[in-house]
Amino acid sequence: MHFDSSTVKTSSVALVGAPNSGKTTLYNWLTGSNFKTVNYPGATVEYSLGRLASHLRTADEEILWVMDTPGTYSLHPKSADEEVTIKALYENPELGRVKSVVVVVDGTQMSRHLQLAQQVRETGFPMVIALTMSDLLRKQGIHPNLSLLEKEFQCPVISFDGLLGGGLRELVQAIRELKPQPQVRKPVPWGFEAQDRKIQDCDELAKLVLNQKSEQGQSRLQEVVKSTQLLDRYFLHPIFGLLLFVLIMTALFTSIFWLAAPLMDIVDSFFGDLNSVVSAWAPGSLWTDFLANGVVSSFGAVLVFVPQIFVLFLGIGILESTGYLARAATLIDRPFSLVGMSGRSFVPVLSGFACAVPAMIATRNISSSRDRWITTFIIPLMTCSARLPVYALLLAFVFKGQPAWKAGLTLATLYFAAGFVGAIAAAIVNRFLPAGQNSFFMMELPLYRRPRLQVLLRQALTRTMSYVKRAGPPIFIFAGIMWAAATFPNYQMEDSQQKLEQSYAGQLGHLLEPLVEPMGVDWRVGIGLVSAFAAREVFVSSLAITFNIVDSDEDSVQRNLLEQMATAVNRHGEKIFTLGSVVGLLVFFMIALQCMSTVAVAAREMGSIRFALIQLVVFNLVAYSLAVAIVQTFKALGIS
Amino acid sequence: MTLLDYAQTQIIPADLEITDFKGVSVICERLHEMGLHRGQKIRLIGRAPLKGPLIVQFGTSFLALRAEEAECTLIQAQ
Repeated sequence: MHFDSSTVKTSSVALVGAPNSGKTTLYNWLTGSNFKTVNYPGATVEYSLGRLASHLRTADEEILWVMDTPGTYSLHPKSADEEVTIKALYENPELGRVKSVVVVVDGTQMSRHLQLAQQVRETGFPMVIALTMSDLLRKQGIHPNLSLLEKEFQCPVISFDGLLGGGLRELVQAIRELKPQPQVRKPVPWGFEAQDRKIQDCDELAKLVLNQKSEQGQSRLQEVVKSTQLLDRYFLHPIFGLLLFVLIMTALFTSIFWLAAPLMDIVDSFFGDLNSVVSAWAPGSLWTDFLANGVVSSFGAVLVFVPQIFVLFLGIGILESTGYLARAATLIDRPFSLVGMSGRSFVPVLSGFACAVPAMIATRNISSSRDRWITTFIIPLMTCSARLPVYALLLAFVFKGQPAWKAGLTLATLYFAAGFVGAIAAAIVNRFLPAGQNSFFMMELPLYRRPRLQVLLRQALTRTMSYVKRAGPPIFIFAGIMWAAATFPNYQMEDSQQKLEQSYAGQLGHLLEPLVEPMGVDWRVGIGLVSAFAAREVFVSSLAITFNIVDSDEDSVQRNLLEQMATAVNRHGEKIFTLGSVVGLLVFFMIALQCMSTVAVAAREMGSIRFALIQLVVFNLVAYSLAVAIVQTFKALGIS
Repeated sequence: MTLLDYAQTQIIPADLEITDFKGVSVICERLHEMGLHRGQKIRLIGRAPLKGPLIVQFGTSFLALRAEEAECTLIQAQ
């Protein structure tokens, strides 16, 4: 992030609040589209920093940085991400110590959330209390007595409406008017007796503020939770609850296939057309060949899967914002604890189905270091979005010409299988790790909420774009390298098959052939497997190049590639892509750890390079051995 | 009686009152941070399948507590 080094005065405000307090919604309103850090589902990654939205600034204003911090219940951290919040306040690498704090208090959870406000008050940070969810209260005819809160906390209290943004300007004004404090104190733990008393006080205060002294007032507040009580009767039911859990997860994973299919066709045709157009510019020239068959085909082969990634992000976003994720975590706590994890591992593990990097960061929410270790260890086994292009291609090959639900169901099976493999891995690690200290679960179940479609779509789109931005450069670089390696040195050769065989890529592939042959594939797939270590999805684009998608009369890249795969034979004249070798490849990709960003993040989050290296070596060895075993078994049984 | 004992031996749902906390201090601290305190009236709603966490409601809040956590919470029936 860049900061103006000019003489403009800068100021900063941190948003602090419990999980589900509406903190991130407020942050989005305050910064508009100005925020820099992208949050992934289930976790506020590090902290997010953004400039105050331009329409909220005044002409001569100093720069105001707004910081979103991971949700915390108190200033006495009990997990890694609560520590991030404390660090972000006191020793922020960007801002030093923040100038002021907005404590975000959910109006419907006031008695609980006021203790955090109390703790911030004691540190001496200049503060404002933002009261969220006031729309829910107003609907029940409850009008919080804000002046009473202001008197008690000696600070401005602003009611904020997350749906419409009401109260935003007043909040910004209140932040501006805060008097800077030269000195603040570090939070001091209260001790058992003091804490118990203070929380009773907060409870009493909240009752006064919300006019809860009368029976009528209490029953009004209870209206807010009526629908949640009703829904939980089903979602947490011993039988229906589990059934619904399996149904919801199946729906999530199958929708990745069928919901995205129409969009994928559009993307695919677009790149097919683009290939034809580019090829027509100067037929036969090296540059045209590079652009059409190197760049366009590679991007087409990978970008065709972006709709699926979007659907996955959207699905996780829906589960998160409705409040279901916490229920799912509760349901899964017991099974997870059998293999050394807890329900708190659920959100990181589920995020692992999108991308292992934010998922590993999300493990900071797990208080026990042992649980966190095991969870981080198995996260790379979850089917991340980079595997999706590979699976999708291989499944499209197996189920060519068959109804889409078959491939969809198989994909869902692969997703569940990843969970199963993860469970086995966790159980093994759990056996060998020394027993740890107490871990706790203690999960707040937020009230069910109807999510706003617009917000969900925008959020899923931002997350997808950040995926594309991250995946884009390696794809481009590798497409260039792959094309050059597959084209030179004999680029003038007429016979394209021979040209490839004798190219640099071909030579390297032949060198690797003994290694990949037991997997039932030939050197061309071998090149793909090696390039997948840059990023898994590069496997697809390098297949597009090594299987030489040169004829551009085809109207789609993917269909062309599938046809090439169906007819491809090795040097003994045997088909390469048989059921056996495809299943072998699927299993290989399911287990292999091919993502260098994941290795780097694992080393950083666990503070141990050894951890990351063990993970890298073990997963790849197991993946290779299993793939070979499967292919050879298929062969021995005569299945092709 | 601990909340866990109650859940295992008595009929759920039930209205209870917290009398005290005992055991692992970090769990007691976190129970407080989640909004529980002595004298707090809670409703034990149910238990997640497979002997999973207990579901507790107090005021407008819902909390899922593992067995170890419910063991730190002492209650009496209302």
